[in-house]
Amino acid sequence: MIVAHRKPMEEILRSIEGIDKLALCGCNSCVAVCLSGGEREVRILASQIRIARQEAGRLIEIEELVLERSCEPEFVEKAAEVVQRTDGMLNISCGVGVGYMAEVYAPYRVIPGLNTTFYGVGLGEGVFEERCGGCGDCLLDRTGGVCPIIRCAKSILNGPCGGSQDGNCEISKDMPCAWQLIWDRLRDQGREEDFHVVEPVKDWRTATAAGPRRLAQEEIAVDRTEPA
Amino acid sequence: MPETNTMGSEAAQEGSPHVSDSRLERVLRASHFAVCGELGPPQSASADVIVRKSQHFRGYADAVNLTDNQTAVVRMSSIAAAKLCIDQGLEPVIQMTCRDRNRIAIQSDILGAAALGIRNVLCLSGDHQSMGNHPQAKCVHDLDSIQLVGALRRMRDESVFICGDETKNPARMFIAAACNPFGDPYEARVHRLAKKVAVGADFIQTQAIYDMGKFRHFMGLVRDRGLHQRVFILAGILPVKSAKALVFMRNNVAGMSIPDDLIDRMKGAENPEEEGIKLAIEQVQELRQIEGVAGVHIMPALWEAAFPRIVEGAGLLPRPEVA
Amino acid sequence: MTVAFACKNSGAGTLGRMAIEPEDLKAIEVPCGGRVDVIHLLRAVEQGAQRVLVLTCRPGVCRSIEGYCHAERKVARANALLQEVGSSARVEAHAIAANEPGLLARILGEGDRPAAEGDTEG
Repeated sequence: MIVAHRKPMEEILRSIEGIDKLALCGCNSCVAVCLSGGEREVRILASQIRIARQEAGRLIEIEELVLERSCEPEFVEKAAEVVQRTDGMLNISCGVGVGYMAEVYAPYRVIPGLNTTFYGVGLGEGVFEERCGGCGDCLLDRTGGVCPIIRCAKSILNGPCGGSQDGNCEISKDMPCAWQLIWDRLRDQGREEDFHVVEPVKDWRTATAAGPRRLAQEEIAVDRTEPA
Repeated sequence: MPETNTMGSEAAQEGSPHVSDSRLERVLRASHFAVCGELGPPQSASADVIVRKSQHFRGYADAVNLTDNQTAVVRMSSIAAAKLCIDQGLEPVIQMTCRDRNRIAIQSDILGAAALGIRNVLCLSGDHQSMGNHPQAKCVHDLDSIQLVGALRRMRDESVFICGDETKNPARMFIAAACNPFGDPYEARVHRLAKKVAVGADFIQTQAIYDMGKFRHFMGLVRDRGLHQRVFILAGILPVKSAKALVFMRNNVAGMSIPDDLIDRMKGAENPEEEGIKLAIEQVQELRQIEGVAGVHIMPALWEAAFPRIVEGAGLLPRPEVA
Repeated sequence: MTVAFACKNSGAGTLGRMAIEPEDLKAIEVPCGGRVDVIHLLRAVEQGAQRVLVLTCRPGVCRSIEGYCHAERKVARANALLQEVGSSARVEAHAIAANEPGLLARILGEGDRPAAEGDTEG
């Protein structure tokens, strides 16, 4: 899932300062799973904002809504009436949702309430961790399923570096060394020999191209706009 | 589809033709036990610091490493400091990390270094920027150190850049990689050394050695695979003035192995500085006895004045004159 | 104003036994104090409560076993959320039996109140 977490409260309150009829919109997908932007978080944040405004002696009307997904037109369309009735929106979807909402309803103002950070896994008990670097050229089979780009602090493709100790990265005893994990995996898979293979210099163009990357599934896409 | 580069470095064998114009290479190929020093550039534009520190190495070292923003703290660049060393009559080994530069900047810097008369380069991943004074920086890591060794080797021997374009006058560097015999996973360390040899490293500089037993064991594994005949291995020594320094390294530097008896020895010493020099001299002498060790890399770390004393005390003078 | 979420097995019973119902107290009966959600606590503050109480059974007698523990957790969370927006309102959790009007009176800050005839303090 895409993992995001709520912005600091002072930043949120400052960003909605001028708005007295506010839409507060969350999303039932990734950000609900990581407990940052789902229905529960919408209700709590709305309540907090109303209390904050009461403390400041000013009123605010908040319309709360939650979309199934914020990244597809059929769901974002459902926000139309709330957008009509309000002066601006605090959106606690991921950055994709915030930007898309802003695009669909431009020039209506859409303010992010979360900081979007990484693609990750839920490890349980409210803990989420980054797992994929979005590099566009997946090499997970060569590394036993451990992504060296994101789980190695130096994105080393021929690891480990000299700082690996006791299975930990030199940065911190709480951070496992990705190359220790890779070594253990390949060994357990009986693929120790693969460790000798030199991973060549990476073509990073699939990772961060010039501008936003784009996918058009040719079979079904009717791509009306020319890619840049 | 990745391939194993099996170019190998037959270069380590004595009497082999020189691959670069490096004086250090000539010392090693003539079977002399090589001596490298190390100098940390200042956190300023003060060229006179380099001039001053150089005096401790001239006549005592075959080559001197210039660190590259070590511990991710901003310092004068390795290449600039190296040129200042050349002007003082030293042979520098520049260090190049993958942390701060992409392949364009790296290759560009290497061409410039060669043009300035620099002949040796140590390829490193680089300490993580969180350790330094600019943890906010965006780190690069376009290449890793092994890919960098391979790229410099290909530039030298095939006159091409990483993209395949030709260069009429390539940088002909004597190329080093680092080796940490004490890091984990321990079983992978020799594999990683083999990989560096396979992609074309000419010589190796190891992490500072305090645990002789462990290093001897590591060299046994190295010899079993014949790696010592394919690459020149320089053993690292870091002289200390106090037990505190050893304890600090043990607690704060990942991948160091420091036996208790050394710490006790320094603690019990009447004159810790003298003891530190004595210890370093003994280390040089012990390392010299290990088959496959082609020289030492002494890293005086803010104690450059110790360097000439250690070299002299270990009986390594005079340094050889080579053509 | 004080809002009290009172478990029907404990706090609600005690509230019923108080000789004089305190002014400025709004009582809401709930099946179990441990099931009051953070949002309910915040909404009570929105509606003007300066003090919100969650009354549960004492640990060991709760019919939902761990009502007090759950209530404590949510109360802590609600207080953190209130502090974040600079609210002076506070939420508290209290374990109380069904027949402790004196204790409840102390919690409410009014000192000992006379119990109704025939009752004993728990």
